[in-house]
Amino acid sequence: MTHTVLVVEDEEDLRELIREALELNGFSVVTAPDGREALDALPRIKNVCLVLLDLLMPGMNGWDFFDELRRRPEYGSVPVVVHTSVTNRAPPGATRVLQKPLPLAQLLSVVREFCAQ
Amino acid sequence: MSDAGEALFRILVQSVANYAIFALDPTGHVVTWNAGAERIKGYEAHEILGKHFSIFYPPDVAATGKCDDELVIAQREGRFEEEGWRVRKNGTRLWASVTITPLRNEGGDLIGFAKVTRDLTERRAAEATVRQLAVERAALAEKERLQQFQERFLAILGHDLRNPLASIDMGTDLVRQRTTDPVTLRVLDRMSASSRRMTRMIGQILDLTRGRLGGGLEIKREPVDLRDVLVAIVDELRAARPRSTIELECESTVGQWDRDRLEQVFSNLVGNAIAHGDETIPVRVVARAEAGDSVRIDVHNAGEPIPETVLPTIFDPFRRGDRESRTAKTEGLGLGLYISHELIRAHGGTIEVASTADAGTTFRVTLPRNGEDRT
Repeated sequence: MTHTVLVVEDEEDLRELIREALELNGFSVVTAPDGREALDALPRIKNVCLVLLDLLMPGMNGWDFFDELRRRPEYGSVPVVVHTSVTNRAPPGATRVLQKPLPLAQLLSVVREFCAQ
Repeated sequence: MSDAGEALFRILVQSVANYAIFALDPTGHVVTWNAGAERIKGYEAHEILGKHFSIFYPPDVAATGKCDDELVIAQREGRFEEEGWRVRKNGTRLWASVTITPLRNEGGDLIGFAKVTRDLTERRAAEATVRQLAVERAALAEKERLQQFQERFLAILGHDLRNPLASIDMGTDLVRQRTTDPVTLRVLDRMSASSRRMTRMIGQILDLTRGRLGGGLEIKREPVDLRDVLVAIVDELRAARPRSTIELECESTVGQWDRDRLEQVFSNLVGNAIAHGDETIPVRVVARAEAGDSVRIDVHNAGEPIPETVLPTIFDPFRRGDRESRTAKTEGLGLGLYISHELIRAHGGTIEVASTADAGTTFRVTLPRNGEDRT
C-alpha cells in the first residue's frame, strides 16, 4: 500500500525541495501551498501517513488547518509534524514540532518514523 | 431710560449670577457689586465696596502695575479685554474672561469703568483635559505604530529570512545525498556552514530586538540539571575543536531554568574561551553551589587578557565592531556576550568578567536556582 506525505508549505522553493527530497528517498508526496488547498487535497489522497505543516502561511494558516483537520473524524489520528520558524507557537496537539531550517537527515528520520517507503 | 426702566435694569444686573458685573470709579475702586461677582469672587458687597480692583489679581501681577495699565488701555481704546488668572477671596485662583469698558457722562467725562468677568476655570480645565487626552491618544497611537513595526520586523527576521535559508539547507543536503564528488562536497560544506552562520546571526538579531525593543527575552523554566547542560556543551565543543582541551567540574545541580537558553549562554562562554584562550592550556568550567541557593559557574581560559579598555563595555551589543577587523576568532555580529548577559539577567542571575595577564580570563555566572524572571 502506498503511503503519502502531505506537505503544506507556502514557500514554493522549500515546498518543491522537500517534495524532491522525499520522492528521491522513496516516499509518495502531495503538496499544498496553504491550509485550504491541503484540506481540498486530502480526500484525493488514499493513505495519508503524515502531514508536514508550516504555520505562517497566507490564506488558511497552519493553526486553522490543524483545528479543521482534527475536527474531521477520518483524519483525527493522522500525525501532524509542524515545521516552522515559530516553534513556540505550535498548536499544543501537534505530533512533533521541528524548527526551520531543518537538516534533510532529520526530516527523513521523522518521515520514516511514520511512513512506509 | 425712564426711572422704572433704570430700576429694572439695576435689578437685572444685580441678579445676574453667571457674570460678575460691577463698576469701578475712575481710580479703579469698586463702587457696585452684583450677585455674580459675589458668587465668582467670593466677596460680599460690604467687604469689597471701596477696595481697589487690584485685589482680584495675583499679588505678583498686581505689583507690576498691570491694573492701572488696563484702565489706561480701556480709556484709550474704548475697551480692554483679556483672559487671565485672578484670585478669589479665599485665595484660590480662577481663569477669568475680563472686559473693562470706560463709562462717560453726557459731556464725555470719565465717570468710572464697567467690569464684566466670567469664570472660565472649568472650561479651561476641560480644554486642558481634552488637550491632554489628545496628547495621550497621539502617544498611544505612536506606541501602537512602533509595536506593529516591531512585530513586523520580528516576523520578517524570524520567518521571512529563515525560510529561504531552509530552502538553501534542504537543497545542499539533497545535493550532498546525491554526489560523491569531493569538490562538490567541499563546496556544499562551505555553503552549509555559511547558512548555519546566517541562521545563528538571525537568531541573535531576533534576541537583540526582543531584548531591546520588545518585552525582553522570554525564558521558559523547567527543572534542569546544570550538569547535563554543561556536559552536552563540552562534548559538542570537544568534538568540534579536537585540538582544545576542556576540563569540566560540575556535580548534579537542579534548578528552575530554561535549558535551551542556558545551553546558548554556556556554548557562547565556553566557545569564546576556546577561541580566545591559549590552546596549550585547558579551558576550565567549574560549577559550585553558593550560599543562598545559587550556583556559581566559572569559565576560565589562560592566554592573552581582554584589553582593559574593552572590559567595561564587553557586554554591550555589537562590541566586535569596535575591535580589530574581522578574524576567525571574532566571526559573528558581536552579540553573543550581550545576549548571554541578557539571558542570565532574565534568569535573575549575574555575569561578570575578570581578566589579567597573570590570571587569565574568567567569566563568572551566578545563577539562582529559583530566581524571579527579569525582563
